[in-house]
Amino acid sequence: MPEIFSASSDNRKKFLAGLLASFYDHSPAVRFYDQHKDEKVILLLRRHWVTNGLWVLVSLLLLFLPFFGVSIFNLINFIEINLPLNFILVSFVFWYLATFGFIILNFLFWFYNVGIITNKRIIDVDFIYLLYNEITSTVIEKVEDVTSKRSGFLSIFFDIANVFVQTAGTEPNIEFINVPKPNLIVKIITQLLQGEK
Amino acid sequence: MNFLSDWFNLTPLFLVKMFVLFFEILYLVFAVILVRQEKLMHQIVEVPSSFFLRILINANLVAAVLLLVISLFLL
Repeated sequence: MPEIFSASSDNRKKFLAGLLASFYDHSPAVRFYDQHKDEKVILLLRRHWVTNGLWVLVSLLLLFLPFFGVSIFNLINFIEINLPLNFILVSFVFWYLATFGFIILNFLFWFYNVGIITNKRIIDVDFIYLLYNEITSTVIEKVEDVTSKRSGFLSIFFDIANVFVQTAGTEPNIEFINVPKPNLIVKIITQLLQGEK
Repeated sequence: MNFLSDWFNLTPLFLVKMFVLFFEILYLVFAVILVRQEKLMHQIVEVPSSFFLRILINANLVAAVLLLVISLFLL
């Protein structure tokens, strides 16, 4: 089978690239639960990092809020806070621990919401809530159509789109939302499809 | 507040302490769920350098436990 897609040989894509990549083409490094022996991961996809902007901003706000809150209370003098120092200290520590938990949770949602394209299958792992996740998988032969839809300024500026993989009959359709390099993804899946047919 | 102090021997500080401890226990449960869920997701998709994330999540759990223990004695 001809080489569908060759991974970039950029040696700067080291260790942290796996942690932060939205379009990860270092296939030998990625493994998943049901991977067959002759199955090779071609791409690992995540939402583009820019989609994390909102929770990052909220996190920054939460980090600085205690200082603003204390200043505002002192200015307004609306509520006189007479808590002992140990209560205030514990509250501060708990606030920052909870903020850290918020950051970890949102990063976890981004990190494990992945799409995997192999030489045999397309898999979509959706980590929707903390206690709910969905895994959808389809073989390449069942793929009927691949479409990418792009709209909005961010999509054009950062080359982001939604890629829809339509499958035959009762097989579930697969969606990769806000992924980078959508044209390349569509090209890879199309080449895989042509290779199978 | 006088009613609470007179009838149930509850001071405002005691109520604040219970309030704080309640949320710390809730957060501890959340931290345990995070650890468990990360482990499950790692079994589904093994990605390089995900152990960094595991270290952070476990550190979060340890910090939650320590904070609860310290709060029990400090508050």
